[in-house]
Amino acid sequence: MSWTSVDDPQLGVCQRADAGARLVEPLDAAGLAQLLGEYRGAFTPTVGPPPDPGGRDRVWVDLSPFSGVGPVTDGALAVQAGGAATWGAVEGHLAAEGLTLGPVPGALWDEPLYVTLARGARRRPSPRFGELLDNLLAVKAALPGGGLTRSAVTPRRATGPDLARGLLGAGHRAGIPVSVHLQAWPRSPVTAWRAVGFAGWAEALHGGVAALHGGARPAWWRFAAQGDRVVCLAGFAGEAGLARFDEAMGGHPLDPGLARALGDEVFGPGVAAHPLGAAWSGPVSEAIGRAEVGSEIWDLRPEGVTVLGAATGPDPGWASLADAALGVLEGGP
Amino acid sequence: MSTASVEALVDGLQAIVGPAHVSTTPPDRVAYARDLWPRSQLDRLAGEPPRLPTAIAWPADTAQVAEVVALCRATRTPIVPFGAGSGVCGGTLPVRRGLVLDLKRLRRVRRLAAEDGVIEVEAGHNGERLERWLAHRGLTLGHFPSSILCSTVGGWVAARSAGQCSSRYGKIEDMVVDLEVVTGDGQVRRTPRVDAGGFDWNGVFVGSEGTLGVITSATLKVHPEPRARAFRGWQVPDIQAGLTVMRRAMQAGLRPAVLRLYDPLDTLMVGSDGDKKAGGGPLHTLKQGLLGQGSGGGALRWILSHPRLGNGAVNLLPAPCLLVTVSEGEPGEARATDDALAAFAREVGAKDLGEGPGRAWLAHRYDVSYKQSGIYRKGAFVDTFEVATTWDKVAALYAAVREAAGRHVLVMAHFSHAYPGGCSIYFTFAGAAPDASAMRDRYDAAWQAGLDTALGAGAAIAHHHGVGLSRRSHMGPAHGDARRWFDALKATLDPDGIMNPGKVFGEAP
Repeated sequence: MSWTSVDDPQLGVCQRADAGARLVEPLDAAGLAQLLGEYRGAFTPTVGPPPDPGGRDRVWVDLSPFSGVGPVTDGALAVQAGGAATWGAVEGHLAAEGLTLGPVPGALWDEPLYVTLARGARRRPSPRFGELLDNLLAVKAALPGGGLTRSAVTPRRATGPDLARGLLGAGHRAGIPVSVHLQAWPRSPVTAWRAVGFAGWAEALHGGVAALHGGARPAWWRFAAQGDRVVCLAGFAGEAGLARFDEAMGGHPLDPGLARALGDEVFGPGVAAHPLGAAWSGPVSEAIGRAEVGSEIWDLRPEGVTVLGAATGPDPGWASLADAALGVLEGGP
Repeated sequence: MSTASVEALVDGLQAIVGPAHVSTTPPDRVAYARDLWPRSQLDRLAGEPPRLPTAIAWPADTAQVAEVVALCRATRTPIVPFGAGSGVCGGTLPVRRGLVLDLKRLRRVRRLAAEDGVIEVEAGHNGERLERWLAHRGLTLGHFPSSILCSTVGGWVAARSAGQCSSRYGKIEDMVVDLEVVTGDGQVRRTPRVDAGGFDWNGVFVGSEGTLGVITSATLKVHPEPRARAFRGWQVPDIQAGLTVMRRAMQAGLRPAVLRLYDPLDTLMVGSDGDKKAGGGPLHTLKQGLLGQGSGGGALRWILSHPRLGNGAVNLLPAPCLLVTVSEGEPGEARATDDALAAFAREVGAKDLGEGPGRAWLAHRYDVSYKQSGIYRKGAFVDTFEVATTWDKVAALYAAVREAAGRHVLVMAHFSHAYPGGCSIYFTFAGAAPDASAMRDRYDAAWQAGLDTALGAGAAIAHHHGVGLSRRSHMGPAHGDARRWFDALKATLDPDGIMNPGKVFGEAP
């Protein structure tokens, strides 16, 4: 599909595909905000021309200008990235400076940040580095109808309701992130590996919770059914409670090479290749029953578990409320 | 409201919660016209009468809260949700009069699922009683705000509270699993679990200070009570050295319960043994005055009336500061954390002061609450002002706020609530002036200078005290056009604008 530059009376200079779809590239954040403010129709964000432009009325906004990464703030280790930068690009930039975001799920590696934020994906199996979006320090976004949000780059967005979080999981209608600050960490090599076998899911999950309460903080871990047993594989970056893991976990020690073989790219795209969307999250006690038939626990925390392969959709009541608020934001009633 | 309207409102309220649980008496209306915002004290001293609520109601359960909200919606009556009145920003003042909805009768523990690491507790449950209840079962929430004796679960969530052990257990927003909320349209709603993905409704209601709805219960994370604690005090060479220890500890993945660094004046106030035994002279006078103790206010007023002199003298104090650390958990973790902190402290040349400062801090950690009123009787005032920023800006922000606010008031601070990316600075300031009106001007000037400086430095203008009325003026500049998001949510969840009007962002433009 080829694109042709045209001067659109509403959008200014843009490219038009043969099918009539239009692609517009804002110069900067202010330009994007102005575009969203002055054009009353809907945009679909993209990075570069989309392979399939869609129908005649489709308007794409190319976020390529917001793909940069850096710099990293001294001391705070806060890395600034454009909304269209991929997680892999951010991690690559940090790796060159001896830093890391912690494990990035493989499914996200090539995904632009704005897409992840729009989906509200926040899980990752890393007690040491915490959930993905807990490491989000600030977001600057262009809003529907124009205007730019602002949030201080701080360790906690602490003033009133968390409006930056209001953008998360709301889809592209809520706004388009143009700049993001993320918490980076000193990059410790993975120095220890553990593999532990359990007779069943209940023993494995209770062992995992006991290890967390004991102070163990694996850089990543995974729980998976293998034949008639459940295996936990874990990698530790730095000390991070390795001794407490050994004390509290229970189960039967297995060859740590099992973990090493699966996890030697803990800070690369190999940590997990599963799509994060197909998952169920809930309390440990309920997860035990679900995991009997599932194959893998994605994430384990004392107060909850995410089980892969058991998806639940959004609550319809809350989804309609979000739709209503988005309607107001877009200038509706 | 007209007399007839008030009578209709009261009749309606009595029908819902019972006659014994509605009040329009002057003593109750006066009592519920205040919280612990120091500015209100200055208003009283200046002879300005408080704005009284029309009525107070004490619902017993969520269903009654929903009925009350529906009634208020029908009568366009403003509602101010009320926990225990410990807020220090004016968040519960009934600025549009209306109904104060005291939630203290909603105090049941609905569910404890220790295996799942959660408790569901109603919003009016007192914080200290909840911790005691959990302790009897070998559990803890890990949330210990200095107001714990006079605050509630709902207030914590609504105002985005932080406890003294937040570096280990997180702030209240890190503890919330889900919420039950009666939104301003009268609907009872339970938010999706925090790990459900998608739109983060919990993040919207935490910190909303009653402007979107009434939080009626919260499911919160609980933890096993720590079996071991390690206390330590360090004399660090200066503020920057102490901040380096805090930063390195958090970025190394340690989870100490407490990291608390006092600036030179606060170090002297606390005492090098952490036991608040400052010697005699001006420092003793100042300390007694700030705690509302001691007799005679002349010396105190003189000290606080000359803030440039006082702050200049502080600049001549020795640079070493006190850093208090508390490590807890299972014995192995507490020991390992304490050892790692010690290694970081020694690297900056800190001197080990032993367990004393940490134990003294624990013994006195709730002393401040309720003890501010004495200073007002001596013709002076005191308040606190907390901000948060990233490590690269902490020292500069501390200096800038001291410089800006220090033209009006005496300033000291401690640094706490540490994260991998930064920490909170908790300023305490005190001042005096010849009369109540002048005191209020001086107080306002100090706040304005502090907020302007924090905003200009790109810091968060609050950390855990909330917004209320005291920070409302700076919310727009702090959030930019994100305010439109708030207005959209407000229009959806509170279509008649009855929920705590005038707070957080103020009225919609």
